[in-house]
Amino acid sequence: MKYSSKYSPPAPGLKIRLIKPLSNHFIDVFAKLDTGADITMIPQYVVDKLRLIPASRILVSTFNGYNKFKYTYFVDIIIHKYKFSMIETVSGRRQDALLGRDILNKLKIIFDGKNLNFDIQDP
Amino acid sequence: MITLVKTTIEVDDELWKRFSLLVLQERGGRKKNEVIVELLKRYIKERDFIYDKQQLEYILRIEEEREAFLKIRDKLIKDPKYKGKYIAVFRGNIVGYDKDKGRLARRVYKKYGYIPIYIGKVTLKERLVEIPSPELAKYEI
Repeated sequence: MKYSSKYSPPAPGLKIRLIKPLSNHFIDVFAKLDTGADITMIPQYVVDKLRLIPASRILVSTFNGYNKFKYTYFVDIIIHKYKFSMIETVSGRRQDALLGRDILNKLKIIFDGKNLNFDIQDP
Repeated sequence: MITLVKTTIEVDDELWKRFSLLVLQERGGRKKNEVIVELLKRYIKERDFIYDKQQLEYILRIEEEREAFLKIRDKLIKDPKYKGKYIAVFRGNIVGYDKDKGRLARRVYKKYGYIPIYIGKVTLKERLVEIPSPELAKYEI
């Protein structure tokens, strides 16, 4: 798969499906693979449109050490051809999702930054 | 239709006198309420409040369940059955526990429906996660 040139510099990303728990309601969004993120972040508009229900809250720390409480939401996620059920995520005001290591560590991913390609295998 | 609420707050007497005098000087009598509402709106706007009305309802219910969890947390930590595991709290009662939070969430949502149920870990530490992508700062997560 090609790196996305939507980001500068280009970044590995792909379309994923976010599914409301115990339902057939879903929204497809673009997601960036973010190995620096401990947890997956989904866009707030997905939370609103799917009427996701918060389950907990956690402290999120950003690069500048700024901490903020965020509510968490369980969703099913389909990435490439692999499905992950009941993944705890946080939401943020952005258009794309960030796939954190909570998901990425369940996959074998090969980054070829030099050729701007990546591959996802073996869930 | 807007629903109005009446609330009582305690503030420092000196602070209140200064505030009252300033409002009187700038806007005339009986305008303190108006200024307080403006301050509240500005406070919310500056913090980029992202939740819609429905989310706000859900969040307030989750906060109630969380309060119930915090009241019994110390007791739960001493119980090996719960310590270090995730518990589900609904209407102030424990309705499930598991070492896997996703499995617990699926189970309680199946049993009680997809409704606000607090799922938290029985530990004293607040969970802290890092999402260090610099672009998050501009989106004000």
